[in-house]
Order: sequence, then structure tokens, then C-alpha cells
Amino acid sequence: MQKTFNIKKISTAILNSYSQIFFSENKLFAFLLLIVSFIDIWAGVSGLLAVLTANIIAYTLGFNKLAIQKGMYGFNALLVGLGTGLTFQPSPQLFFIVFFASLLTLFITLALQGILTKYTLPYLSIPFLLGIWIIILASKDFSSLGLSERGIYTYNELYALGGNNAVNFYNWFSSINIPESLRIYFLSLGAIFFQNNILAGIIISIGLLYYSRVAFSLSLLGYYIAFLFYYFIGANFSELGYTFIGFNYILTSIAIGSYFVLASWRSYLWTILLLPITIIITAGLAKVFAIWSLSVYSLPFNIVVIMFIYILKLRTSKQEHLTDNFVKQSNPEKTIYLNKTAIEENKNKLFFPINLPFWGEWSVMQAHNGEYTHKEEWQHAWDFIIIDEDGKQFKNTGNNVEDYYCYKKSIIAPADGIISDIFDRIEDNKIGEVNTIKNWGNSIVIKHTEILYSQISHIKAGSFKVKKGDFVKKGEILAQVGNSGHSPYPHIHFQMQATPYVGSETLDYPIHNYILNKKSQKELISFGKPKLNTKISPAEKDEILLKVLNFTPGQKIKVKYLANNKTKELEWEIFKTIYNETYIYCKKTKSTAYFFSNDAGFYFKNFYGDKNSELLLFFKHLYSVKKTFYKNIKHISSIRPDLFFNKYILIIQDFIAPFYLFLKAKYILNYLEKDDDFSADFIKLEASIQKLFFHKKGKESKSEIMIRQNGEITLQLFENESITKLTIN
Amino acid sequence: MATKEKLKYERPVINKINAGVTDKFGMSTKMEIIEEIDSVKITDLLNEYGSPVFAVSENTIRKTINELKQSFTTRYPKVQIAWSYKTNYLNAICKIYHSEGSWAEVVSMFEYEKAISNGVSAKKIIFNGPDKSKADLEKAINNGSYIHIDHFDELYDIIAISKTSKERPKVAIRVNMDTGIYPQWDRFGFNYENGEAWNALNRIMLSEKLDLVGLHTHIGTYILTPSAYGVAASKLSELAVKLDKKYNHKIKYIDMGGGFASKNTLKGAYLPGKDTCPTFDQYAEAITNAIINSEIDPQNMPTLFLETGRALIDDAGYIAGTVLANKRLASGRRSMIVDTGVNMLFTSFWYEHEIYPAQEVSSHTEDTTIYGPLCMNIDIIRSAINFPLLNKGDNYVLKRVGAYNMTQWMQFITLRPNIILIDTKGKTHVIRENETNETMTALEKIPEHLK
Repeated sequence: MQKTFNIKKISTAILNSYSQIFFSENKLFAFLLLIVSFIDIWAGVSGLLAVLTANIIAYTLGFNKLAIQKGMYGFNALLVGLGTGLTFQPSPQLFFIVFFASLLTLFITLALQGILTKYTLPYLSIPFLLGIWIIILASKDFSSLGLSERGIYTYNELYALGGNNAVNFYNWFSSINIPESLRIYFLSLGAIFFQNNILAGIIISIGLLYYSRVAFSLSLLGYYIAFLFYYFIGANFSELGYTFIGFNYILTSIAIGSYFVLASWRSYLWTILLLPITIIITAGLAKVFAIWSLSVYSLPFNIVVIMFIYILKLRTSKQEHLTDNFVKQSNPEKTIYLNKTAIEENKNKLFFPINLPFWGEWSVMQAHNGEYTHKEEWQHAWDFIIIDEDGKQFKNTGNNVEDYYCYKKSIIAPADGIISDIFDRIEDNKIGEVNTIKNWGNSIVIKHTEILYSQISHIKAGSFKVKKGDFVKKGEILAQVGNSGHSPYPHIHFQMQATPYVGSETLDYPIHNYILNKKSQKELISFGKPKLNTKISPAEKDEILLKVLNFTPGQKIKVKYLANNKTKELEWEIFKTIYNETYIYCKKTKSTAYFFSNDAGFYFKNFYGDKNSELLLFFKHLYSVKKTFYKNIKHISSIRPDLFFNKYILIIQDFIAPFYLFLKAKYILNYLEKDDDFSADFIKLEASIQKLFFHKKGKESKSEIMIRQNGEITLQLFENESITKLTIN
Repeated sequence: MATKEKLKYERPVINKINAGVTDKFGMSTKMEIIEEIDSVKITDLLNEYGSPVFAVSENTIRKTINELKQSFTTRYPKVQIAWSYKTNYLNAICKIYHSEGSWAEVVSMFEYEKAISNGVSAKKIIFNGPDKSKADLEKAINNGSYIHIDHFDELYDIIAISKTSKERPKVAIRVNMDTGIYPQWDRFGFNYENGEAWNALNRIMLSEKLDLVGLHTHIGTYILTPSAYGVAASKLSELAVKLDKKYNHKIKYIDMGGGFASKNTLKGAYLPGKDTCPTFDQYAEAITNAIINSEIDPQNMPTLFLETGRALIDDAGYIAGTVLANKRLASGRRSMIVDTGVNMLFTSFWYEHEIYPAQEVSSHTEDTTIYGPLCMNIDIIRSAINFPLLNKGDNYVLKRVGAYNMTQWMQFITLRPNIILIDTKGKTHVIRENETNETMTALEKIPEHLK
């Protein structure tokens, strides 16, 4: 049992070592690549030998099994193996060299990983470059390795491979009139696997198209930008064809356009801007490397991609675009679908939940980049006050601090943390006066994570209920609002920062789970930045939703499904991965639904498996539930479209996904009824899922969801006339 | 030629000079005049709806409840107000409070049913008071209302019902205690100091058939000492902590009842109520500090219930009326007869109600006794007030009469007048029509032999 499991894992590692060259872990694509590598049998064997060597040694040395499985340690060895296998005549000495070349490449890979991981940078195919150059330079002294003449006498090889048929096929194939540019495109693709023929390129491009429409279109974009640039500059285009350097542009395009950043019009634009640079680097370096009669191989691609990713990380101001803040999926378009939907929910992964530091309804007197003091380095802060029905922040004359509604109100911990600093003993100012010497007044800084601190200022002297070093829980009382420091009248100054000092530079960070009180309605905000003059209050939690929507790993769920008067019973189970991702697994339909749950909400993240399963129904209708109850409040989200539309229309969507999603699925949850505020038996919700084609509304699926105190969830669909009911307990 | 308006006749008055703090113009005796309520002219109200007339300002109601809410919700995470029906259970008034999110706090089946008919969910009704029949209890339990137990006999009834009923009764007990004020109300609920309350709680927990959801107290009425609420809240919190320790049972709410003073002046008070009445902030500070500083687990704070009645509605109510006559008493003292009697102003037995002229009047005042229209010696609105000289037919208005008067009033000698609501846009609505002879005789029956 254990053994077969290992074989499965090893075969995954081997296949992924092939597809990883294109940043893919697609099995069919990998299989096609494996076949392509065997067009030259000895090269193919050398490649496979190198992959096996690298993976097995990485495994025995005890490196991360998941990285091995992903092919992260195999693909560079594969390339070195292929290159070596093609360069030299097949002989026992060749395999001997391939083995050690693979070992060397693995070591370079591991060493580079050690260095680059600190900068969160990839090592791409640098290990391959170092490996192959050394082998080629060294081989000049290895007399028993004969240089291969394959690739020169194509017919001989074809005959050896498949007899007359192969030769005929090759002739027929060569006679097909393929435009020159396309021919070089295929040759360039093939060249990634050291293949000097169109067939290899065609197979790879089919595999690429199968794996991802976005990556495929980027490969064409990258290639043609380079093609046009050569044409425009007047550079010798046949050089592109001759040295097969074209793959640099293809790989650069895929990496920058869709892999290291979320594919979007921005990433496409940067791809277009970066390609000419890649070409210049290619041309320049080729001259240098010619001195040692070496090829630059994929060096330009490595330089440009690693440099660009590094530069993106060096940006100092807050970045929303072109970041690595996204969840990767099995291909770029799925990554887009996941990251461009459920935007609020995805923020749960990006942000530590920071709540409002007070109780009840307050107003924003100064917001981000405010008109008084929230400027420049300190622009991402808020000033909160309490105002009455008439918009006044004080009663009586307003000449005394006691007249101000917010004065002496409790300040509470916005999240769990450790008190990292407290400043006390600065007396309150008289109304209208400010203390410019002790600007921040009495302040408290709380450490929430290693790089996230919150600071609250202008506190009343002597009102602290905590001391430096204390651990505080969210909602615990810290101190009282005062009027110390640069504070003409009492208010709370609240800011997030990355360093533990009072007055540190502020971070642009959202506040979690609060109610925006508008005149006629309330709005529940998951992660938001309160705007000037808005009225906000912390959202109250709902006990039933907290209790019921809290599945724990190991829990088994009994499911009853009633449709067309037939009842089906099945069982789901909750599991978690080593990364602490929780999911519901249905054994019968082999379906998996990943979810994320905290004390503010329950969100489904991803679904794999049977599209007709009860689990998918459950996934869709309880897609995003905030664990609060405010009657008639609507919670709106969006679900990834690939779970709703058929695969043919999705192919079109895949191609343009980086620019526009014309297929959408809108999720609306309405909080209908709670039978009792304190001993509620049930909560009634209404979920509606609307398919949108451009902006045209398609089929709508509605359900009523009953969540009961005893843990039972009933989902009743209003489709057709028949009753469809899903009950879990 | 324009006709000159005849000057108003003012009777000559002779005033004794009182030594006192004066400025160089002498003591000002000019009295404030109230001509309109929420921009509605009082004379117009009287012309349209007759005299006298009760007027309630929706604006003031909403403003006051939001003030109360703000005072508490900015100091405590979970706060819920329950409208005390007995203070004013006119349906329109109740509906305003419910629209502001208030539950209903009722003390009889009559009020209970009124709340239900006002569209309040039975699960948002708190059933208080000593008078609950077994049938009342059964009904409340089956509906899932919250029952605040007043005495052991009621507790036994509930335990008996719980053995057969499908619904588990949701109960709290009312606790009375020494909070350092006089008088100490000990006739409602179970006493804290002598251990009766703890005894009742143990019995509830041990019965295992009841859901103990809360703890309730109502320390008195017109309490001018916020610290008394602090003491009460601490004592209830101690009970909550004891319950948690002994039974690992967390109560869902602490109900501090009502009793916040309004700005009316009590009879015999030295200073006017306007100056002595604590603000909502002071009450809130005392109550929330006591609960927050108690040993209750901060992660499981109970909801704070308030059953404030008087302080919420008193300011919103007015009575406007007309002077019927002026006369000199045998002692030479001036007296004025108005058309509002104690039968509709029950609170005049304990308040020195503020009364104001509703039109321009002379600046001279005289010590006056104001009588109601009833042919009863006790019908006195103000026994002594420095009041300007109003003529027959002039109008006046009484402030702060929103609490209790519209529930405790009675039909006696005269018929009860219209009650008007002035909505937030200044439009007037009759919310209770004046009585007629037919209303009063409708329930009467005459035996055959007298017909």
C-alpha cells in the first residue's frame, strides 16, 4: 500500500519535472512533453535519467516532498540531461556524465534556492544554465565523449526511429505551407526541449493550449512582439530562427504575463514592455558568450524575469497591482477566476482582522489623507468621534472636555495582541488647545503580528487598564478616550503600522467586520476603510451562525437529499491539509469543497469534483455567510464562473479572462429571520445565485436556508415545481 | 383709515416687594411663553382638536431614545431597550418605540396582548409584574416570551407548566436589593441580601426544565442617584458570576429595569428637576462600569436590557388648554381655573408641573393657585405658582406630561380629550379620539325593571 503510494508520488514528481518548465503541473501536458523529449531517443533517455537522479537524490536527502512532487527539483536537471544527451553520442560514458551533471544541477538548484528564497525570488532555469555551460566547457577535455552528429542527418535518424513511414510523414509534413513566422514559433517552442523540428513545437503548443488558454496566447504574444521588434530594428531575423533563442521571449511572456503576477491588462502591458529589453540582452550577451563558444540559452529570460520580480517587490508605496498577493490555481485562467471573484472573502487571506477600537456608533472625523493631520507618512489614520442626532459632538457649551460625547468612553483592543508600548501622564488639553510638544499624547501600541502594530492616541491620562507586555484579547478594555497631545477636542486617533514606535509611518490597512450606518439602511463591510463623515459601529456576532458554521476536522456530516420525491442519504467528512486549509469531502462523489471559517464568516473557497454533487449545491448556496444577523441586510459576493458555465463558452472566456469577465455568477445572501434574539432556534436566510452573461441576467437559482440551533442546516431550492431539499446534520 | 387695535386690559396688581438678588432693573418676573410645539401653533391645535388636548412630539420621542441608546451603546457592547408599556401604551406611541428597535415590557395580559397586536414578536416581549395567572403563563411560555418571575408561587406555577409544555420556559428572576437609597423597594421579586434570590436561582437551575436567561431588577422610580444603579448592577453581576461558577451557566442578559428620573420637579424638592435630574450618561456610566468591572468573563458579556419608561416619554407629552375663570379666594389670593383636571393629569399628585402661557401675556406675575375644572376639592394643578395674569379664554400649556398620564388617567366628571401626535414633519394626527357620551355608556347595561 505504502509502496504504490510512493510510486504514484514519484511518477507525479517526474511528470511535473517536465511541465514545470512551463510553470504547469498539468499531467497531459507533461505527458506530451515527455513524448516530445523522446523524439530523439537518446536525448529522451538522458533527460529521464537526469530527472530520476535529481528527484531520487532530493528525496533521499530529505528535501520538501511537496516541492519534489511539484517537479521543482527535477526540471533543471531534465534540461541539462536533454542538452547533454543531444550534444554527445550515446555511450555508457554519456549516461555516466548525465548522472553527475544531474547531481550537479540539483546541488546548484538547492544552493540557489537557499539564497534566492530569502528574497522570495524563483531560481527559474539558472541551475540548468550553470549546469549545461560547465558540462559543455568541461566536455572539451572528455575525449571519450563523441560529439553527436544527430540533428544534421535528419533522414538517417527518422529512418532509425520509424522506418520509411516516418520519413514519408516528415516529407509530407515539411511540404505543408506554414508561414515563416509561425514556423519559427514552433521551432522556438521545440527548442525549449532541444528539438530542432516543427513537429515537436506543434505538439508542445497543443499541450500548452490544452493546459491554459492564457499561457498559450501569451506564448504567441511574446513571440510575435519579438518577431516584430526584430523586423522593425532590422536585426537579422534568421538569427532568431537559427539559434532558437525565440523561447526566451515565449517563457518571459508566460512568466511575467500570467505566472508571477495575476494576469491582467497590466501584466500584458509589462510583458510587451519587457520583451524588447529581453531581445537587447539576448543580442548583447550572445556576443559575450560567443567568446567561449557557448549559447546564452535561457539566460535573458532568467535575467529579465528575476530582475522584474525583484523590482516589483522593492516598491515602497502600497501596491494593489502586480503583487504576489494572490492564490494560485492549476492554470492562469483559473487563478483569475478565483482571484477576481469573492474579492472581499479573499482579503481574509491577505489581512489580519483588525476591528474597530470602540463600542457603539462613532463617526469618522478625519479619514485617510485627511485635511488636518493625516498627511504624507501618517496619512493612513482615522480620527473617530461620537456625534448626536443633530451632528454635534458635544452637549452643553462644548467648552469642557466632559461635554464631548466620546470623552472617557472605553477604548477596546482591536484584535488580540501584546501591548508593546504605553505613554501616560500627559494631561488633557483645554478645548481648542493642542500640545505640540508631546504631539501624540498618551498612546498605546499593540503588537498583533511581527509586522503589524496598531496605535491609539490622545488617551486620558491614568486611564490605562493594561500595562506594557500584557496580552490582550480582542474587545478587552484598554483605556479611556481623552484629549491629550495634538488634540483640540476629545477623539480617538487610530492607525496601523509596521513598527512598534509611537508615531511610526502608517500602513494602508483595512478594518474588519463593521456596520456602515446609512440613513435608511445598514451595510455590512468585511474589510473596508471608513470614509470621512460616515457613521460606523462594530458588527455584532450571531451565536447560532458561530456555533453551526464551525466545522472541525474529523467531524462527519450526515446528508439527506430529497429530489423528485426520492431521498438519498450520504456522508461528508471534514479534513484539513498540512497548510491548515479545511475542506469538506464527499466520498461518494469524490468531491472536495475547500472552506475558510473564522468568527466573522464562513466562506467556501474552491471546489473540485462532480458538478452534479450535493456538495456543489451546498457550496454554491452557502458560498459566503457572514456570522452576524441584521435583518434584511444583504451580503453580496461573486462565485468563480467556471463552476457555472459549460466548457465551450468558458474557452472563449479563458482567452480574454485577463481583461474582462463576461461570465459571472453573483451571489446574494439575504438575512430573513431570526426567531429569537437570545434563545433562537433558527435563522432563516435566502440565497440567490444569478448567472450573468455580459450584464444579461441568466438563470437564477434561489434557496431558503434554515440554520438551526441543533446544528441542522436545511437548504430548500425553489426550482421547477418539485421540492429539492438538502439537510445536513 | 386703519383701525387701532384696542389695548388689552390688564388688571392692576399690588405686589409686595421681596428682598432678593436683583439687578438694577429689579427682579425679572417675566415668564417663558410656549407658543408652539415642534412648530405647530398651540392655538391652532386647540382650535382644531378642542380644549384641552394632549399633544405628543414624535421628534422628541425619537431624539430621546437615540440619546439613551448612544449613551449606553458607546459604553457597552450589547444593549437592548424594552418599552415599558404601562408608561404609555397608546398603540401609536408603542409603534414609534418598536420602530426604533425596542422590545415590549409588559406587566399584564392586557398589555401582553396589546404588544402582540402592535406587531411585536412574542419572542421580543418581557413579561414582568406580580399578576400572572396560570393561563397567562402558559400562553407566554408557548409563545416563547421572556418571563420575569416575581415570587415563588409564580415559580412553582411555571415549574408545573414546564412538565407538560412543549416549549421550555425562558425565565429570569426579578431581584430586589439594598442599593443605599430610600425607599428600598422590596415588594417585587426576590430579595438579594437575605438569600432569597440565590435560592430562587438554584431552584430554577435544579428544575432543569427552565431556561434561565437573565437577571432583572427594578430598584425604584424617579431615582436621582445613578450610583444606586451601579450597586444594583454589581449585585446582579455577582449573581451571574455565581451561576457561572456553580452551574457553568452563562446568563444572556442583565435587565436593569427602569426608574431613571425625568426632568419634572417632585413636590417638596428644593431645586427644579431640570437641574437635579441625572443625564443618561451618568446612569450609563454607573451601570456599564459596574458590569464591566465585575468578574463576568469579558468574552461573554450579557446583553444589557433597559426598561426605561418615564425618562423616555415624559418630555414628549404636553397638555394645552384654556383658562375657564379667575377668582380671588377669601384670603385674597388669586386663583385660576383651567380645563385640565387631575383626572387626566394624574402625575400632578407628585409633580410640580411646569405650566406656561401659550400667548403673549403681561410681564407681571402674582402668586396663584391653579385649579382644575372638577367639582372636587382635590383638583389642584399647582397650589402655588408665580403666574402671569391670564384672562378667561387664554391658553396655557403643561410640559412633560408624557409618562403615565395617558395610561393612569380616568374618566371622571368630564370626558377625556383628544390625543394628538405631531410627527417628524410637523403634521398632526389624532392617535386617540376624545370620548363622547356614547363611548362611556356603551358598556353600561340597564336591568329590565329600570328601563
